[in-house]
Amino acid sequence: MRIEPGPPFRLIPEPQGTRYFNQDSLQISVLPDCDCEIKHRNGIHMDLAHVGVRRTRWMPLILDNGIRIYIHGTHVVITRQDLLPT
Amino acid sequence: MLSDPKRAKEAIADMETERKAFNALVEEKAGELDQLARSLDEKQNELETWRERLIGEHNGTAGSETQTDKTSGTMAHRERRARRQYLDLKAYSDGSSGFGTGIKLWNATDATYSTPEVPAEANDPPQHDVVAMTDFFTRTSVSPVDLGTGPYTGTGQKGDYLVLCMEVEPAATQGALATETTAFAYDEI
Repeated sequence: MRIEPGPPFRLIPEPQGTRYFNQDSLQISVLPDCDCEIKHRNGIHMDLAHVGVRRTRWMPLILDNGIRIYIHGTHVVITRQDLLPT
Repeated sequence: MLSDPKRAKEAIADMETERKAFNALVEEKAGELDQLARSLDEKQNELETWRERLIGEHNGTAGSETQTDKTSGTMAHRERRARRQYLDLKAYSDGSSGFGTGIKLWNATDATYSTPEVPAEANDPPQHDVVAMTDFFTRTSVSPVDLGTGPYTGTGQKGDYLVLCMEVEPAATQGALATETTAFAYDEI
């Protein structure tokens, strides 16, 4: 599966425990009662013999039942797989 | 001073309208200011992303090896701003070699740098530190090379070295090779 690069995003924890994710006009709020894991997943793709570098950044939300939601621009992937940027 | 109660009432109504308009303007400007602050924050975040030095190529004699930054800046820029942790360092290929017949790419990992050497031809696959290397094109995003779990904090080099060795067999044909890409991935919290 190939997911095209999206714009960078911000992950903001608030003192009250709510975490929210911002990317362009998209905002996702994770309320304190949800124990899901959120992180940045970064990919660096380099030509083997050259200096060409392409970066990607996903935000996986890992729910406590093992389901993972990958958000990347306007593309949302829901799976149990541990996907890496390609 | 307004002695006419009707005019006084109208003046009060005008003032109320003005007050509401002023409050709305303040609210609008506060929103714009907040938007600008978020935008600035995003730009700083983007800039820091570009300043990170996450991949360095090492070559030459161990102890005096050359280190080539593949990206500019240092991780410390980001580290100073927020106590971030880095986890699950991975390396992988696209799973398909474009090098053609007779050209192979082998990989191993090592916690410490050592001087590159030509592996003994007697070993197929070649060995690194007496351990058989594996075909890098079998290491995909589904089964990547593990370069360290972490969590890593602070500055400096983190994780294992990815050791790559290209083998050219007699069956290989002459000419330039197709470009192949190595991917590195890591999590950040």
